[in-house]
Amino acid sequence: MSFLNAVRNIPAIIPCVKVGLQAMGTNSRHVHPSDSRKCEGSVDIDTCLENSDPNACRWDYVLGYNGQAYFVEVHPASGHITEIIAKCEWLRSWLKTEGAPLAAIHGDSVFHWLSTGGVKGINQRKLALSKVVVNKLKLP
Amino acid sequence: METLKVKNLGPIAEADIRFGDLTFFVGPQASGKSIVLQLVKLLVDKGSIIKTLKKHGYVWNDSNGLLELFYGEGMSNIWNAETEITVDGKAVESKSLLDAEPNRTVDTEVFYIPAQRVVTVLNGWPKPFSDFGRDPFVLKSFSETLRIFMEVGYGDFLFQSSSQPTSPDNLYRSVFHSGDLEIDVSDYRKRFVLNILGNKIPISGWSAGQREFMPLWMGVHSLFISRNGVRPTEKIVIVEEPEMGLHPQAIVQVITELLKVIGEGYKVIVSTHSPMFLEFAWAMQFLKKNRAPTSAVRKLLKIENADERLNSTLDVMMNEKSINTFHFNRVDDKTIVKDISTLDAFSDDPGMADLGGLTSFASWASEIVAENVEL
Repeated sequence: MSFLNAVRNIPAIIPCVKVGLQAMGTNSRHVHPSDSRKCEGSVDIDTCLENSDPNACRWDYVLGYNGQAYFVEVHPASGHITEIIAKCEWLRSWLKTEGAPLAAIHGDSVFHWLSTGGVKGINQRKLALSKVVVNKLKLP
Repeated sequence: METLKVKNLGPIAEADIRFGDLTFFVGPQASGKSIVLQLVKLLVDKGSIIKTLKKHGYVWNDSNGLLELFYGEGMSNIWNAETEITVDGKAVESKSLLDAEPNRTVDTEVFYIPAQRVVTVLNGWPKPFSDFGRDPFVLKSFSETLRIFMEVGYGDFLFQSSSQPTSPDNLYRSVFHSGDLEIDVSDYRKRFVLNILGNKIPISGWSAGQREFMPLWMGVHSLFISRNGVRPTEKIVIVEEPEMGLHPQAIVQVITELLKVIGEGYKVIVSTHSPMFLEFAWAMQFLKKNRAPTSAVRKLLKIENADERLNSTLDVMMNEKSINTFHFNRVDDKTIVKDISTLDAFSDDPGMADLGGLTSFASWASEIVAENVEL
């Protein structure tokens, strides 16, 4: 299943799908695909589900690349990691229900926090236990 | 010395270094960090080096002989026909090292605290220059400096109970805890001891970290003391691996001590295998860029009681002083030295993003755990 086919099976985010990395806006500068032709699209999950799930700690973005989905959060280093972990818990829950078609093409099994400014090693260990890796997104 | 370019010196294929007020060198073993640090000493202090060597009876016929005596046994061929050295835009030939006039009074401008410093005090008192063999000049010279520092009495106050810091929030106390350093006399000879509840423990009974720390502590303090009313002549302080044997809690306080050295007007160059120095550099870049208050630096370094002088030093660090970082990246037996001063966490260069490779295993371990967590 391609990224766009997966998105078509999730009605709530269909209107939000954008070409390439455009859904990330200026945050796309933090993502460096090896081959931009393999970018299939992107969705700003956070904004898209703001009305339908207003009180949730929503994850930022999903990117389609070479037939797979990558989940990306862009957040400053000053953000508390409990917030990132809460967002990841919400995302994992969403992927088991409404977002299941994207879970089926989850590219690298982890969730990416692109921290604007870096993080300390100890935080990375805590995050790893929630399957969150920091600043290691590779789009081959 | 503001800039130093090096080509084909030992393992160094290429280096283009612009020194900051505080400069960090990071890289694996035998990547050439120490060779470049010693080169700085050689280029700046060649006059006093030659004078010292001659004073101790050393003779040589050519620049190779001088390099052998300076870098240590078997090291003379690191500077060969392919080597190019440029200091502040001017090329330096190896034969020009012999141009120095040893009879002229020359000040030492580089104070060098070498990585092997523990051997200087292993016998309980700093070894004289002439007791060493074909060791690197910087080791012999550092030991001799400590010996003279103690012999003429400048260092005595460091070993008097009235001078021992009492606050536990202190580098000295982080390392020696409730013990007090003292000078003891045994078998008619002076020696350093650690007095713990009346028990005088010689250096052989200290922890490895305490033994490593002692000469570093003495060396740093010697920079703060006027000698016969004249302040030390050095302008550059080089410290190899100041973290050696120390717990991270003490390393934070070592960073504060190095900032105090900068506050005294010295430029400081540090080689390190500890990520803490680069995490400090990264945090400082961020705080400076975002015009954070000096209180943020105090918080970073866990300084609770800063006196006026230290506060002033931290202000100067935030507003005027530069911190530069260089990665000695050794690939296939050759080292390319890269400027990684921005320490950009998003850099495609893993040497930059992983702080010169110091945090790469921490990142890697987290990645592997994340991939294998079952939720």
